[in-house]
Amino acid sequence: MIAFWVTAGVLSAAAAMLMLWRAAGAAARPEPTDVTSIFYRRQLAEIGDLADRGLIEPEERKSAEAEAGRRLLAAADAPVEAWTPGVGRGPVLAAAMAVPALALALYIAVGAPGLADQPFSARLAKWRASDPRTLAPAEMAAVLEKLTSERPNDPEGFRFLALAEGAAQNPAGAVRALKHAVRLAPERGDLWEMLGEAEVYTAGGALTDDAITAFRRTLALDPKNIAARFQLARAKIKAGDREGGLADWRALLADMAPNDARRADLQSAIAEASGAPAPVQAPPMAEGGGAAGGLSADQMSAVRGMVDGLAAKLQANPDDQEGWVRLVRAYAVLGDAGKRDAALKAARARYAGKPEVLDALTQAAAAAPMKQGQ
Amino acid sequence: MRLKAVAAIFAGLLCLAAAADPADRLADPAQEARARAIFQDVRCLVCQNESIDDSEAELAGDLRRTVREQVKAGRSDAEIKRFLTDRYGEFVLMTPRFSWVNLALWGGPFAVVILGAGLLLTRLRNRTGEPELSPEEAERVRRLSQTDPT
Amino acid sequence: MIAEFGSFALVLGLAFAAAQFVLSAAARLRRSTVLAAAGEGAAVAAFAGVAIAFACLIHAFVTSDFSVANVAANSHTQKPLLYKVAGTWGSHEGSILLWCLILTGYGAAAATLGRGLPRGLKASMVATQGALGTVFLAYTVFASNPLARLPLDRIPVEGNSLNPLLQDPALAIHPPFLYSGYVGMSVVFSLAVAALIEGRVDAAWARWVRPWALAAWSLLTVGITLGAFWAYYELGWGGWWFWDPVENASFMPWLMATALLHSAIVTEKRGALAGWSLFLAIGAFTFSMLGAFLVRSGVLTSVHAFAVDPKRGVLLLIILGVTAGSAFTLFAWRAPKLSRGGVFAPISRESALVLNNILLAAATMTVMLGTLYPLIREAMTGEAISVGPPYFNLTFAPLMACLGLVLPAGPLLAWKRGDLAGVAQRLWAAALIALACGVGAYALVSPRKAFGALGIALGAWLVAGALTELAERTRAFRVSAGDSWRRLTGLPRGAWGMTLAHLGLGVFVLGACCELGWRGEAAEALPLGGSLDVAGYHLTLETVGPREGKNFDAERALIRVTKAGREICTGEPDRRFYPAGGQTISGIALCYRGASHLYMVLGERRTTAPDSSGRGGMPVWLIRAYWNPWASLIFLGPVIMALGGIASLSDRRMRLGVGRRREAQAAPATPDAPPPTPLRPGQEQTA
Repeated sequence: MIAFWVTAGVLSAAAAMLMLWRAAGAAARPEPTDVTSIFYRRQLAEIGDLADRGLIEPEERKSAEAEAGRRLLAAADAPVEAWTPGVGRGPVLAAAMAVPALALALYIAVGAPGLADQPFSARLAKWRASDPRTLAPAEMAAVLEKLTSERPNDPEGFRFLALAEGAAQNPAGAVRALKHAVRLAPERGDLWEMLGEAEVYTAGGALTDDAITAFRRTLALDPKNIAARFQLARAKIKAGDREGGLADWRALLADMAPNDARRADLQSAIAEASGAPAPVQAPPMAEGGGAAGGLSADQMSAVRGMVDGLAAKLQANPDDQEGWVRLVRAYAVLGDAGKRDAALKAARARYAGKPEVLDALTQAAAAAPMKQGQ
Repeated sequence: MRLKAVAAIFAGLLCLAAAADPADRLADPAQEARARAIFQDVRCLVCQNESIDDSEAELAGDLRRTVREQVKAGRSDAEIKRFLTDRYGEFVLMTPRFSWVNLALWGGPFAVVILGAGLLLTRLRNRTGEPELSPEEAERVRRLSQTDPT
Repeated sequence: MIAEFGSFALVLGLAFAAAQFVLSAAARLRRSTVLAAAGEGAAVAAFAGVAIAFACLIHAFVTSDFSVANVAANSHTQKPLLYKVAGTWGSHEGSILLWCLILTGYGAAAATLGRGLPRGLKASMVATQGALGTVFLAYTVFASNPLARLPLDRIPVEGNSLNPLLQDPALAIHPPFLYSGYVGMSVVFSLAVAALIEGRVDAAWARWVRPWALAAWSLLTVGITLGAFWAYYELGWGGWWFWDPVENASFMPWLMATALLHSAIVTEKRGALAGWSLFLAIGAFTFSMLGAFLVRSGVLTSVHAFAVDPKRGVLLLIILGVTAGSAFTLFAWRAPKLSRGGVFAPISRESALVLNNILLAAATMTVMLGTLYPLIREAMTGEAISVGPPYFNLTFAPLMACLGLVLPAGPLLAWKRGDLAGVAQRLWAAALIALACGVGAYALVSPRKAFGALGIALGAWLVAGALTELAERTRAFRVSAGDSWRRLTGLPRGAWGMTLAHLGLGVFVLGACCELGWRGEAAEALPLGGSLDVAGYHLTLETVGPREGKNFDAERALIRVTKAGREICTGEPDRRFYPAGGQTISGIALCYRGASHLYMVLGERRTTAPDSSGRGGMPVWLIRAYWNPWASLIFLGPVIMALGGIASLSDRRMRLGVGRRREAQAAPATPDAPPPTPLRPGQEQTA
C-alpha cells in the first residue's frame, strides 16, 4: 500500500518535472524559421532553370514567375507574430501541481485503492495450500489441472480432474481430462465408461461416435458394465434396430441386482421404447444430467432466438413437415410444454393424412426436456 | 461461432454445411454452377452480411435448397430472384435494384466524377494568365531571392 | 498493486492530456513560448502515463489477474503467451486503450519533432491533439476502463477466454498496425484544424502534412493487408475481401489518405487545391474514427465485428460526430478565405493528380454509400436492402480501372503544361506489353475468362508503366549502362517511393484479377484414402488423427497432393475445438506453388449411411480445396506499396530541418542546387 503511493507519487512528480523542464528550456530555444519563403524561392529557381533550358516558353515563364513571385511576396509580407515568454514560472508551476492533484482525485473516484493484484499463480498456490473440502469445484479443478501437469503420467489424477470439471459444469474439460486418462491407462474400463458418459453429457444426451467407441471399449474390458450395455443398446435402437436394442435392455434388466436404483429408470426406458405410454419423469441415466450442459444464459437466448425464427418461418411458409418436427422437438427440449402442444396441434391438423409425419411429431414431442439454470 | 456449440445440442435443429457440400449438389454441373452463381447474390437473412454461398447457418441451407430446386425445375435466374424477393423482400438480394429510391446509391459515385470533372473544366477554362510583376514587385522578389533567410 | 498503479497512470495521462490542451490553447492566445513549451511537455507526460497503464494491463493479462474485469472477460490461463498479450487489445476496453496509447504517442511525437513549425501553428496543433486525447481518455476512464477491478468475492476461478478466431499471429499484430494507421491521421487532422485556425495553408503546410500522412498511410496499408490475410486463411472460405462493413470502414480512410498524399503534392508544388487538401485531411481522420467505432456501435453488422457494445459504441459515435462536426464547421467557415492556387493546363501533372483525386473521391463515395446506404434507406423508408459485393464490382471496379488506365501517364507529365504526345511515345512499350499479356491470357489460359484477361492487361500496364517511369528517370537504354546505374542510385528516395507504390498497385491488380478470374474449387466427403481433383492437382486424404494444442483439441488430416503422378506437397488442415469457449474452428493448410496457393480445409466428420449389404457407418470427412492462382501477389502488392511509403518517408527532403540547413548553406551561391544533369520536364522531384 505504501509502496503504491510512493510509486504513484514518484510517477506524478516525474511527469510534472518533465513539463517544468520543457517550459524552462523554452526561452533558450531559437525562433523557428519560417520555411515558406524557402519553398517559393526554390520554385522560382526551378522555373528559371527550366526556362534557361528552353523547356518553358518566355510567355509562360513570365506568368509562372509572377505566380511564384507573388506567393513569395505574400509570405514575406505575412505579419510576424511576436512571441514572448508571456508568463512567469508561477502559472506553469501551479499547473504542475494541479495536474497530479486532479489525477489523484480522479483515481480515488474510479480506482480501487489498496486492492492487491490477484495473479492466478498466487491464487492457485493458496488453493493448493488449503483444505480441499473448502474449495469450490472450479477451484478444485484448477488445482488438479496443475497437479496433472506436474504428474502427466498418472491416470488417477486425470480421473479426479474430470470429476472436478464435471462438478464445475465444464463437461468439455472433463472429456479432455478423460481422453488423457484413457491414453495413459487404456486397460481401465472405468475410465472408458466415464469418458463415454462425459461425451454423452457434453453432446446433450446424444450418442456421438466418440461416445459409442468409448462404450465399446468399456464393454470389451468389462462385459458386465451396466452403463455401457445400456448406452450401446440405446445406440442400437437409434440406429433402427429396435427389437435388438430392447432385447439387450431386457437382458440387462435381468442381470441387474434387484435393489439397483437404476432399475426403475431402465424399466421406463424399455416401456417408452416398446411403445407403451411415455413416462413423464426425467430421462434415464446418463441423459438425466441435463442436456443443458454448459449452456450459458446468452447461449440459451441464442437457442430461443433460433427456435423463434423457425416458428416465424413456419408461420410464413407452413408447408414444411421437417420444420414442424424440428419445432416440436425444440420446444420439448426447451421444456416449453404450452408452445410444444400448440405446435403439435397445428402440425397434427396439417398432416392428419400422413401417419409417418404424425409418428415423427409424437416422437419429437416426447423428447426429454433439458434442465434449466445451473 | 457460439452458435456452433449450440448446434451440438440441437443436432436436429441445425445442419451445418457449406454451399459446396457434396450431399446437396445438383447432378447437372451446369445447373449447379448456375445455382452457385445465384447463391452469391442471395443474402443469408439471419447471418451477419454473408451470402448463402458462404454461410453455414441453417436458414442459408434452406435457401440453398429452395434455389437448387428451382434451378432444377428449369426456372430462369430472374424468376428465381423474383420468387425470393416476393417472399423475403429486397433485403434478400445482395445487389440493390436499379430504381429511383436507389438513385443516390447507384448514381452517387458517378455524380462525384461528373461534379469533379465539371469543377476541373471550369477551373481550366477560367484560367487567366497571372499578370506580370510590376517593376517594384520584381525588384522585391529579386532581393528576397538573394538574401539568406537564416 | 501493479493493476492499481496502471489505473493511476491512466488517470494521470488523462489529467496531462487536459493540461496539454489548456496550456497549448492558452499559449496560442497569449503568444507565450513558456506556456507552449509546457503544453508540449504535458503531451509527452500524457503519453508516458498511458504507456505505463498499457504495460500494467499487459502484465495483468500475462499473469491472468482475473481481479481485473477485462482480463476475466477476455483471457484464460491455458492460452498461449502470445495471445495473452494480444488479448490486451482483443477486447473493447483494451482496444480503446491501445487507441489512446497511439493517439498520445503521436501527440508526443508531434510535440517533440515539429520544431520547424511556426509557433502559432504548432501550439494550435498540440492543443487540438490534446483535446482529442482528453476526449478519448475521458471516455476510457469513465465509460470503458480496462483496469476496472472486481471485488474479491466475485473474482472468477477461470477467465472467459478470447474468441479463438482471434487467436492467430496475424490478428495479434493486426490491430496495432491498423490503429497506428487510423490514429496517425489524427496528426494530419490536427494540422488541418491548426491551419484553419491560423488561416494559412501553403506549400510549407503541405510539406509538414506529408510525412505524417505517409507514415499513417503506410501503417494503414500494412494493417488492412494483415486483416485481409487473416480473413483469407482463418475464416476458411478461400476469399480475402468480402466488402464487409468492417473492411469497408478501414478502406475509406485509406482511400482518403491516398487522395491526400496526391493532392498535397499539388498544394506543395503549385499552391493549388489547398482547401481540398484540408478537406481530405479532416475527412481521413473522420473516416478513421468511423472505421474504428461504427462497427463497434452495433449500428452495422459484420462477420468480423468483435467487441460490439451498442451503448458505449453510440457514445463513441457521438464523440466522433462532435469532433468531425466541429472540424468541418471550422472548415466551412475559414476555407473560403484561403487563397487559390496557380493555374495549369488541361494536360499537366496537376490535371492528372486532380483526376486521381476525383476518382479516389468517387471510390470513397462508393464504399461509403455501399456501407451506409442500407442504414439510410431503412431510416427513410423503413425498407431494408442489402448492398453486397455485386454493387462494388459494378461501381468501384470501373472507377479503379479508369484510375489504373491513366495512372502510368501521370508521373510522366510535366507540371503546368504537359506533352501528351511525348508521354504516349514513352509509354508505347508498356502499352504493347499490357496488350500482349491481356491477349495472351485470353487466348492461352483455359478456361477462357475475359474479365481475368482484362485484369491481367491492366496489372501489366501498371507494372510496365511504373518501370517505364523508372527507365525514363535513369534514361535507361539511351545512355550507357554505367550512367544509368549512377542515375538509378542517385534517385531521391521519394522517387523510389512513388515508383514502388505504383508498382505495388500493379502487382496487387495482377494477383487479384488472376485469383478472381481463375480460382478453382472442389469439395467432397472423403473416406480415408479417398481423393478429389482441383485445377489439375490430385488430393488424397491419407490419415486423420488427433492433435492436442495448448488450449484446444483438434482433428488433423494429412492430405497428399500430386500432379500427374508426381508428389507435390502435403497439407495438414485441422479442425480445432476450443473447450474454453466451446467453439470449433477450421485451421486451413496452404500449399504454395510459386505465387499460387492450394488451399485446403478440413470440414466436419460424418458417417456414411449403411448400404444394402449392411455395411456402412464409415467415417467420411468433408474436404474443401481451392486453387487460388497468384494469390500471393494480392498480399505482396500492398506490402510493396507500404515499402514505397516508407521509402518516401525516409527521403531527406521530408525532414524540414535538414532541408532548411542545406538550403541555407546553398542559398548564397545558387538558390537551388541544380541537379547534376539536365532533367526532362517530367522528371523533376516528385516527393
